[in-house]
Parts: sequence; structure tokens; C-alpha cells
Amino acid sequence: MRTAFLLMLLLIATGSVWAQSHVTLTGTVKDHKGNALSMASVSVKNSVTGTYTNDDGEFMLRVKSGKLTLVSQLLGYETKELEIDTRKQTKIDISLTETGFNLQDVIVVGKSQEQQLREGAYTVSAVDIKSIASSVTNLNDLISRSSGVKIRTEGGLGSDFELSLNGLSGNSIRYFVDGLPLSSKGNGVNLSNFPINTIDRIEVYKGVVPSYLGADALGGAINIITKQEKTNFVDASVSAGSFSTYMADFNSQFVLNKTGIILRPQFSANYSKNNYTVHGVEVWNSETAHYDTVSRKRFHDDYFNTMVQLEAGVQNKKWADLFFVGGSFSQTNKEIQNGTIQSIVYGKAERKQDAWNVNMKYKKDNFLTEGLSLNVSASHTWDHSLTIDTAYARYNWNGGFQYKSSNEMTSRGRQYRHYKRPLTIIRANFNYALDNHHAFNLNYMLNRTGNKRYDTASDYYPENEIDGTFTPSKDLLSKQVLGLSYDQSLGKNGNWVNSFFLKDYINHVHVEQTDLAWITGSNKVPSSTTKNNLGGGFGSRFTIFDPLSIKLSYERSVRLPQARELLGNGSTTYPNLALEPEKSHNINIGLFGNLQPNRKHLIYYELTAFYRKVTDYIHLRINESDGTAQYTNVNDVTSKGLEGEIRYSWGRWLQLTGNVSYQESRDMEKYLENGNESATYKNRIPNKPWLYSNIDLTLNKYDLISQGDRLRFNLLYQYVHWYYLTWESYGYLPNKARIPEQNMFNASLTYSWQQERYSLTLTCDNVFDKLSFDNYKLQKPGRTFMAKFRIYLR
Amino acid sequence: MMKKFKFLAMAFSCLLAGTMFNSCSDDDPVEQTTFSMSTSTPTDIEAAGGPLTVDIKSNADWTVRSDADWLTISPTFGNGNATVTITASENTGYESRTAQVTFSYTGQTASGTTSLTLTQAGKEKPAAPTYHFDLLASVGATTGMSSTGVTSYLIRSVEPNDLVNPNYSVSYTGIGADIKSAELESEAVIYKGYYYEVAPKSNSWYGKYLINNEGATTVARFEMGSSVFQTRKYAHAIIAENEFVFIGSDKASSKGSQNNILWAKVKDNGASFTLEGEGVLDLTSATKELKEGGIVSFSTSGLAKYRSSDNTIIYCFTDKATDAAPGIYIAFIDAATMEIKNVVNETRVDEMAGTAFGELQQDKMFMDENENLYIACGNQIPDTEKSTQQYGRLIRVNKGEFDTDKNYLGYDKYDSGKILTVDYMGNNKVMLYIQDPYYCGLASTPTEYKGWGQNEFNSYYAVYDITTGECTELKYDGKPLPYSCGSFTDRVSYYNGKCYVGTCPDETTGNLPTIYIYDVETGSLTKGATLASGFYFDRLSVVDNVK
Repeated sequence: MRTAFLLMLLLIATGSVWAQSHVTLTGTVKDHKGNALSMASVSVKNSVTGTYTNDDGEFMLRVKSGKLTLVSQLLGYETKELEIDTRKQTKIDISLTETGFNLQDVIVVGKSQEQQLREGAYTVSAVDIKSIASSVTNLNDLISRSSGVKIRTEGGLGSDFELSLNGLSGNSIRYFVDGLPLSSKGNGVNLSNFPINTIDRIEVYKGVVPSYLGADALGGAINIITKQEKTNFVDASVSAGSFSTYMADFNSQFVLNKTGIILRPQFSANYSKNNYTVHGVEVWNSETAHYDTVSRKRFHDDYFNTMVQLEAGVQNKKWADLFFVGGSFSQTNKEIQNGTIQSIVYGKAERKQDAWNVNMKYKKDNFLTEGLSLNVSASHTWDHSLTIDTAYARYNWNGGFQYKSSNEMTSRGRQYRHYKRPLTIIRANFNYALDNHHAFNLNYMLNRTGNKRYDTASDYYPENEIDGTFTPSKDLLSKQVLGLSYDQSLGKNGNWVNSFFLKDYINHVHVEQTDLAWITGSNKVPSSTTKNNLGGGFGSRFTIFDPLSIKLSYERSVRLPQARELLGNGSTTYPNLALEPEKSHNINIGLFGNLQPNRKHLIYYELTAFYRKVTDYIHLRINESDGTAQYTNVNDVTSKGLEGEIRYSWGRWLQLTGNVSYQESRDMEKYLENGNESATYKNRIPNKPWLYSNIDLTLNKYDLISQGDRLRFNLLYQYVHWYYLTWESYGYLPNKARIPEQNMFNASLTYSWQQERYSLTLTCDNVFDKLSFDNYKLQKPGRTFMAKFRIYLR
Repeated sequence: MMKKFKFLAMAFSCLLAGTMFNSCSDDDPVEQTTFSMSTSTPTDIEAAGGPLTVDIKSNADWTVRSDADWLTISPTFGNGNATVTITASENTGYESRTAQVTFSYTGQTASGTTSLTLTQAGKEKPAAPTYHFDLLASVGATTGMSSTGVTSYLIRSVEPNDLVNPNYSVSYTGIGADIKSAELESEAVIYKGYYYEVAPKSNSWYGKYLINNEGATTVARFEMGSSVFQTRKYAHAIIAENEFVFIGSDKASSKGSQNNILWAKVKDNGASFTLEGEGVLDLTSATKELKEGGIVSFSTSGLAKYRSSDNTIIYCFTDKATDAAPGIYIAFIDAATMEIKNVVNETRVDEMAGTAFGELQQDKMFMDENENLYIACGNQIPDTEKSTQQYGRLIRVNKGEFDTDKNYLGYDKYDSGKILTVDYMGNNKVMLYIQDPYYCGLASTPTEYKGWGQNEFNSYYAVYDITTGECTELKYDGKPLPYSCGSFTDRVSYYNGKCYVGTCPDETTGNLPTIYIYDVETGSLTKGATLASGFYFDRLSVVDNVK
């Protein structure tokens, strides 16, 4: 295998021999009024060479000298082609004409050729955040509108959530920020609290994940692309809403004139009491000696999260196209009201997390040789989490408690459980464009997590009250993913794009912990193991004509267990050290196209089918006895599904999106460990939504009060079909527990003025105050109001 | 009512005959025709059948006919006075039946008919069974210490007739209670048709549940006071009709960490509970003579049994401290005051046969007819790797005693075989469920750890004779039953002379989980129903029908 990689490298190296002389083109892209257009693609026709314009509409592109056709595209504008001779002309200004279509969600269209080549062959949808950042208060809500995406949350702001893509969920999905794992920001940072204003767009990869992300993802990947602007700006917003929720985001960039050094300070803070009312909870009435069913406010669910980040660096230097060093700090404090069961109430337990991070990124095109670009990043995070579970009390929904002689969550001694999980991530990516039709990409990713556990309860409590089962330990989890891909663009207009890739996964685990061996399985596995797994696949896209393109992708993927899965969350999720990597065959087939009957109306459609066969599917199993959970392998799970989406736009004024996702995940494990046939063979995996739909309507009114203002109204309807909590075949069906059907309406109204310089948003989620659950009887907030004010100065 | 009416009818017909006789007497030379009949026995006949005699007083010719083929009449005709015998054959049906017996007479002056209605009772209906069987099966894995792996528990009620029918297959598809879906746990006290347990979704209540083929419903609950029991982790003793004592700790036991053993006395009033009392069992003070400072770290739950002759609860527990002395402890508690009368340390055994779940799923102790208590225990096999590799022993606490019988050690003829469950069948016979990988051919030596897992087919059934100390493996058709898996299962129930035993075998050998019926008196074994494939058969219980 290694030889193959070396051979490929050699090929890349020899490729440079053929390199021709190049010139650098510069220019601008503007609309017919002369306004700069950012994010417009500028590319060389029939090649992989391309770029985007910056916020000032400027672009810079290195091309082979000679005659070529330059293509500039931007959704909402007509595509323009220019024939130029670079020997005569290196400065090009392009003017695009508006089609009357306003950019909402970007799907492949409007990307550079290079990106089309990379992503175009995969099932990907990109959610444009930049243009609607003002209207969004929670990223999760936004992503969950995409077809095939389902986010299940346990409660209010800061509560645990699980995102599923095409039927695979949880940690099958990897999160990235600009290609670097999100976990490098610390465990406390996730989609629900990521500062929205800093985001440019989010790419959602379903199923097959291209190798350059270096992911050992199985269900897909979410890549958050942050804004990269060259000018000074300040972007700040504050929000306030129901349940004492307050959020603040500050994001800015200053370019120091003398040195050209760019400084990017960032700050965000989120706080919520999450004291929403839960209905149908039971409290003991000692007079009647019965339980009364009542509604109560949550009383121990405060959440606070803050993140501070500073980046400094330079762009467009001789030695680096981009070089940044940065550091960040994040802190999360969370009170824990419930475990996995709402009737078990906690009143004192809490979790605290803090993380320090240092990172660097370096990017250089034409590194060492023409056509070779290097992209390196490295990051180290000191992640520390503390679970405090020391109260010898049993709380009830009245907020009162009864003394008991064990802690709240695990019924053991008092715990001050610390987890230190230092995380090192190194990523190196080499991209080499052989010519306009062929490119190679080599990606290396190292992800090393330590897991040091210790308990400091003995500092506060006598020896005989602390948890005697615990012994401190140090574990190590190291993953390396090496990926090589080859991208090609065939056909007359590059209408046939292929991508082939190989991935090598090396997993090293070193485990010291031996306590609770009967639960964690530490007695079943050797303390130190290294495993090597190979995967690979391809993606292909063929455009017949604009209204019809076909995509096909396949991947044999391997997903290594994550630290959280293998080592638990330190409180209610136990480690499972015997957890095996997930392996799967993924197939995605898609049809999509644009229909544009006239300039005002645009219809985009997409139909995707997927098939996935997973062995050793990692699944969170909840133990109802005490509300704890553990990740375990399910030997053989087959998941297949269909999803469709239609988007209609009427000029800039109206967008209507509807999508439906249907999934079938079945247990295909025919035999049990001991050879007996499994009773759940071919049964639908329980406790998993399998039919859901979103309808999303946006109305815009421009120049309402003053020139350059906009009023935006958005209404979202979400439907989820009911599903069973446990295996659906067994027991008397009418009395089996179900997660009920959900019909939810969310609405928002945004007014922005002075070209989006100021904006004010009012949102109302769960408009009809319906009971809603994602997990069995764990209620989510009722009607929630939020107001957000944002200033964006450039 | 009916009977009375029939007597009246008959009396009336006799009277009628008599009147005719009276009105036509004396001056007519022609003999007046008379006809009367009477029966000395009631006209209601028992199901078994039998004769009934009818005396005819008449001066005419008569014939007797019946419309039912279950009556034989003799003679069927005659003249003058006679005795007719009507014999009913046995009614083999459950319904009663009636017949009309018609007497026709022809005399000189008159002729006529008179009839008699006979009713034969139906065979006595067998009393509707007052009990049924509940079969607990788990999906994914057999029940165990940590219930990871188990994705569902299902309870199916099966009628006695079906259970003993070898052609009956117990299915869970679309029928039965999904215990996980009802947010309950499989470990429960089954008493008078109801399940009692600390439900997993609660950390505060104790509940009474009705579980049948349509699911589980809550009957009563009560908020536990200061004595909080964890799901699955408590012992119980039934001290009076509908009155329980629960004993356990609210804290998972751990080495060196102190915990208290709590007790609660609870009365079930039908639709509600009354907490009669609660407190802490002061075992620390009570063990001061046995250990310096007394024991402070206890097993989360132990095993409890009530001895009615002296109103004593016998509670077995272990010391979980790192410096624990060998053996187990047995406390004798006054059930009225919950005061500890005595605590003894029994060192001839290492452990009780199980403590984690009390006796919520498995029977670990039994009392014989004389109220002697037997406790299943185990000792680690010498030269073995793990403390769970044990051979079994039975210890005994004789009636009225506050210590174990040092002269008695049961199962002592055997050096292998870990006793998992015990079920007393009377007459000094006990059904044992024994785990022994070496005996079952999974381990190559008696000390090897291989084959001890709870999903291995490493266990068998045997009848143990307390008097002789002999143990005989159960055999069907001369062959041993297929070996079963499950260390935390109890598929044995004794009821009314019969012991019902379930297997959970390796299905790849063509065997399905099967119920066998052991007749205690004859020692014969018959085959009963089987379970659908793919389930772990975990518990078989005899459960009273709830009206």
C-alpha cells in the first residue's frame, strides 16, 4: 500500500516536468451597476483551474499562457464566457447580468471549476449562511432543513443533540471547520453554539466523503467554511429570547497597514436558563398518596458557553499564499437536569468544560513546482472536562429533594470526575494539477487524543464517601488517515467529472483503565492495539444538459471509534473499550438539474437514493435502569433511502423549498454471537425517525422604507412521522411506546437596512406551542421567541 | 327452581289420575281405568348416570318411551302395576341434558299419556385454571449484570394447556408486553398475579404492575421515602398477606466505599400502597463482634426470606471491603421491629449463589416443609482464574435457629457445578440449574475459564435429593436435555406436583427453547411448548390469574 502511495508521489513529481509557462490574471467581477460581486467563480473552461472573487469582486488566477476561455458564474446571474489571449491581456474585468434569482442555498452551481471537480462528483449540499446569518439564531435549526438531515435534540440551548445524515447518525458524521476537525475547538464547541456570523457556508456531504477532508466518516461530513475576507470589518450581534436566553457574537478583521498582518479577533457567548415548561411530569401528592400529573418549569438546566479566538497572519506573500497562527479558548458550563429519561430529575449535577487551543495553517500554491499546492494545518487542544456529581439527593419536579446516600447520576460515591483529553490534529494536503483535466490530491491527517481521568472528590469529601470503584487512568487514541485521490474532467465541456480515491486508516489505542471492567470491556481487549484498515471509492457526475445531471458515488469506508464512543462522556455514557471500527459500503445515486422557464422563475430539483451496508455499526444504547448509556456495535445494519428536494424561486422575492426523506434501516445481523439466529433480523432499527419532511418558505421585500433595505419573512414547517421506541415486531403493538408525530412551525422576520449593515430579526420557534420530542418523552422547548440585532461594518 | 316445578308437575298429573278414579266409581260395573305413576328418586340424574325407578299403579296397558338415546327403559310396556327402571348413561359433555319420558296407557274407560321430564347434569366442568405461565424472553442477549446488549424484554402469558402442548409455539410477534417500551425492568417480584418493582424510569417510586399479552399497566405506585431502592438492586421478603419488606442499599456497592442497608415495610392495599415503616438496618453495629469496627461496605442487595414461626427475616449479605473476611454473613431480623437479633459469619462458603438482584429473577433459597431454610452458595474452584468459577454448596438454617447448621453442607459430593437456581419440589427433592462449562464440554479442564460466559451453552438441570445428597441430570428419552445459556435466568417453576423447566439451547443444533414438565411423584419428564427462535428465554413463572 505504502509503495503505491510513493509511486503516486513519484508520478506527481515527474508530472512537473511537463509544466508549461504560466501567467497570472487579475481582474474584477461586477454587476451591471458596477457593484462588486463577491463569491463569483472565475475559471478556465474545460480545466480544473479556477477561483472565487473576494468581497471586493477581485480575483487572481494563475493560468497557462496562451488563448483560453474564461468562465464567470454566480448564482442569480447569467454565466459569462470570455475568450482571451493571456499573452496580450492579463487584467480582465467581467460584468455579469442579474437573472433575477436570489442566492439562497448554493448547490454546486456557482462554484469554481476546481470545486466542481472535487465536490461535484459527490452528494453534497451547501447551505449558504453568509446571506442569511442575520436571520439565524441556531445553526442546528438551519442545517436540519436540508433533505436527508435530521437533528434530534434533548432539550434547549446547549443540550446534547444528534445529527443524522441519510439515516446514519451521531458520530458517523464528522464535523470540520475549514477542513480541520471541529473538535480542535474543544469538546464544548459544536454546531449549536458555533458563532454563526463567522460562517460563509456549510457543505453537507452525504455518504461518500472526498479524501481531501481526511475523514474517517461513515454517514457523511459537515464542513463549515468560514469567511475569508481581505478588508477590515466588524461584525457583531446580540440576541435575547425566551427562557432567559442571551447570545452575543463578535467577529472582526483588521489589516495592519504597514506589515500587512491580518488580525482576526473573535468572541462569542451564549447563555440560557432553559427554564421552559415541561408538561405531563409527575409529582407525588402525599395527601392523596398518588402521583399528580403537572406542568413544571425546568429548574436546573442553565447553560453558558463562551469562545474567544485570535488569529494573526498574512496573505499573498511570496512564501505563503496564506499563513495564520491562532489561539482560542472556550468554556462551557452546563447544569444537568435530566439524563436520558425525563422522569429522573437531577438538581445539582453539572458539567464544565474548558479548552485552550493553538493552531496554524499554511497554504501555498505552486509549492516547489508549478501546479502543486500545499495546504498544511496543525492544531493542539488542551481539553478539560469536569463532571461534578456530588449531591446525595434525589430531586423531583417540584424542585425539592430527598436525601439519599449516593450521588445523583450513577448511584455511586461523590464524584468530581476530571477528563483531560489533549488533542493533536495535523493535516497536510498536496494537490497537484497535472493539466486542466487531471489532478491528484494526497491528504494526511493525524488525530491523537489522550484521555486522562482522575477524580478530586477526595479534596472535598471524606474517603468513605467518594466513589470507590474509580481508579485514575491514562488512555491514548491515535488515528491516522492517509488519502490519495485522482480527479478528472472529461467530455467537451467538462460535463463528465470523475474522482477516484483510496484511504488508509491506522488506529492505535492504548488503554489503561480497568475499573468497571464488566461494563467497559477493558478485560476483553489488550491494553494496546494498532489496526490498519483500507478503504476507497469513486464519485462520478455526468451532465447531460442543464436540466439533468446524474451523480454516482461509492465508498468502502471505515470509521474509527471516537474518543467519546470508546471512552464515554465522563458522566452518563460509559466507555466501551471493546468497540470495533464501523465498516461500510456506501452507494449514492442522484439526479438533479435546473429548470428555468424564464428569467424570473427557477426550479431546482434533486433526487437521491442511497444504500449503505454497515458492519459493526456503532450505536448508542440507553440503559433505562439508570438513565446511563453506552456505545455498542450492531453487527450488520443495512440502511437505504430516498430523498427528494424541489426548490422554486421567483426572482429575488420568493423561495419555496420542499423536501422529503425516507429511510429504511434494518438489522441485517442474522446470527447472534453464540450462533443462534437473531430475533431482530430484518427488523427496522427502533427509535429512529424514518420519514420526515420540511417545507421552507422565504419572502423578500426590497427597498421597503429606504433604498437598500430588505424585509425577509421565513416560515418553516417540519414534519416527522411517528416511530417506535423499541423493536417494532414484538409485543402488543397498540400499547408499545412511540415517539409521536411532530408538526412544527417556525417563523422569522428580518429587517435589514443600509445594505445589510444593520439587521433586526424576530423569530418564533414552535409557533403553536406543541409538545415536541425527539427522544422518548424528553421534551423540547415550547413556543420560543428570539430577537437578534446585528451590525456588520466594513 | 326447575326441579320444584317438575315435582309439582308430576304431583299434578298424579292428582289428575286420582280425580278420574274418584269420579267414576261405584255404580258402574266397568272398571274405571286408572293410571298413576310416582318416583321415589329425584328426576335429576347425576352426570355419571344411573337408574331411576318409576312405580306405575294402573289397571291399564301402558307403554313407556323416551325421546333420548341416553336412556334405557325396562320394561317398555306392561299391564297393571309395575316398576319401570330408567337408566341414564354417563353424560360425557359439560352441558346438562333433558329427556322426556312418555307413559301411554290404554284402559277400558280411558286412555291417555303422561310424561316425565328427566334432567341429567353435565360433567363437572374442570375449574378454570387459576394460574397461567409468564415467559420472559429477551432480544439481543440474555439478561445480565449490565443490561447492555439486551434491546428488549418481552413477557408473554401462556395458558397451562398450551404450555404442556409440545405442538404449541410461543411467539412474541404482535403479542405480549414489551417491557422496555413500558419503561420497566425484567427483574420484579411476582406476587398474586402482579409484578412489583422499582421502575427504571423512576428514581423515586415503587410500583405494582399488571402485565399481560396486551402490555403493562400501572396498578399502584408509592413514593419511596428515605429508603430508596435502585432498580433491580434489592432483596424482598413477604412477611404477611400483601405485606413486603424490601432490603437494599441506595448506593452501588464498591470496594471501600461506605453504604447503608436500608429497609422499608410496605403494604399493598390493592390500588395503593402504605409505607408501614422504613429505616436503616444497623448491620455495622451488629457485626462489631465479627469484625473490628463492624462492616461498613455491603453488597448492594442480599437475599432475604421470611420465617413465619418466629416472625424472623433471614438476610444474607457480603462484606465488600478490601479487608473482608472470607465467607458470607447471615442476619436474623425481627420482622416486627426490624431489630437485628443475631448476625453470623458462615465461612464454609465464599459467596451466595447471587446477590445483585436479590431474588427478583432467580430463586436462590428455599424453605422445606419444616421451615428449614436452604441457601445456595458457591466456592471458587481451586486453581481457577476468576472468582466466578465456582462449585455449588447448600447451607441450611434450621427452624427456630439463629445460626447455620454446621453439620449440614449440601451438594458436597460434587466438586464442580455452580448452582444458579434452586426450586424446592417437596419430599426433599430440589430442581437445580447448574452452570458447568467443563461438564457441558466447553472447557477442556475443570479449571479453564473458557465457556463461563453468560451467552455460552454451559448449564443443565438436575434433581437433587437432600436426603441422599445425590444429583441426577434431567433426561428426556434417555438423553440429557440440550445445554442452556443464561447466568441470570430462572426458567424453573414448581407448581402442584409438577416442575416446569425451560431450556435455552444452541439453536444451530436444531433445538429450540423448550419447556419440559417434570412429574415429581413419578420422576417422568414430558415435553411441552417451544419458543420461537431467536429469543433468549430468561424466565418462566407461574402467575396467578387476576380477576
